[in-house]
Amino acid sequence: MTLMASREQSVVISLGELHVTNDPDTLLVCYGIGSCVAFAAFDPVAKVAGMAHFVLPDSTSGNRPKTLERFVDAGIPIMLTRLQTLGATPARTVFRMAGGAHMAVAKGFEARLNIGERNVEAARATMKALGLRLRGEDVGGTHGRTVRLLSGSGALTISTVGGSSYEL
Amino acid sequence: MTEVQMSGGASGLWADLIKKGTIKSMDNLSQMVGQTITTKTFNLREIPIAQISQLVGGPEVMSVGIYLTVSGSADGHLMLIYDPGIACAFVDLLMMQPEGTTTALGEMEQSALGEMGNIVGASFLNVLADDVGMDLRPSPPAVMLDMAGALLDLVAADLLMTQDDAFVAETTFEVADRKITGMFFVMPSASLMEKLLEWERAA
Repeated sequence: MTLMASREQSVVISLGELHVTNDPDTLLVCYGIGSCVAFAAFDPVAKVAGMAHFVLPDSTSGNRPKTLERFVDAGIPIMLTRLQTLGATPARTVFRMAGGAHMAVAKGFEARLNIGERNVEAARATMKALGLRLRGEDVGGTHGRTVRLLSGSGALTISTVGGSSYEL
Repeated sequence: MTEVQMSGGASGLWADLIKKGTIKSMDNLSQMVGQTITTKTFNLREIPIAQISQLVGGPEVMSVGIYLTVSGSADGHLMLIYDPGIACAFVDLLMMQPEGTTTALGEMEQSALGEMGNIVGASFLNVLADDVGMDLRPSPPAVMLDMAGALLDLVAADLLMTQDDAFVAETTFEVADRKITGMFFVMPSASLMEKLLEWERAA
């Protein structure tokens, strides 16, 4: 499967953002994901794609900031609604995620900063609660990832430092 | 001695205190490496948290981060960020080796960079703690080599819990007789900002 084609328009999904599209020539990109999670959705029939750059697992703790798209538990339902608005059906949509790394492995960071693991667990739990399943995961580790989703085909490619690149 | 040429967006006693801490930390770094360190720029400004990695050149730029968290009376984040080649050059300086000796960051090299983080972090926090009368403790340093966005995710995750924008003090510096430049980020959390502003109001 060829991921890159010259006619594609890249849409960069920054921290806490999500984007859905039914334009088949859009490349959705999350650059330099560490503990965050890039959450990708693709309905192969409706040709609707979406990607979110989740930062935090839980919207119910702490002060509530202006936007909820940064939280896994609140962001996945928001994403589903937006996908459905464009004609996607959750049951046939392929969901995949990448990221959730543990970037700071030094002594003293283990307990305080296991945010990556918590993000991944929150995504699994939210999907389970919604009766949906994840078709693919590339999560954990101690390295960053750049994640690209091609809206027309649903091809999801992950790149890491050192040049390795693979499809999920 | 560190030479300092500074300007910044934010102002007030608290901003001056951040500058003072930065000067002290650069001064102590200068003593550690035995070289004059020139502070080229200092910017203290409020920016959207999602854009912090743009200060390094973008989220995919390969970087070495020496990261310390701040705990005690308030929380915050400190990070030294270098281009990987520059980090190797810094290791040569720290280990008193000829320029170009270090080509990869193994355990010993990371330990040397971590020590640099200790010096810079402790010097900076001592100034804040002494002047404001707070208990501020740096964590042990974590030395990371990866995409800048991935390094800064931890900071963003913490800050985005309570706010959309954050004050970032960004210092660029260079070592006099070698082409070595680096960045020092100070990112106070909401609790530390509150303490600093309280202190300013009482002053």
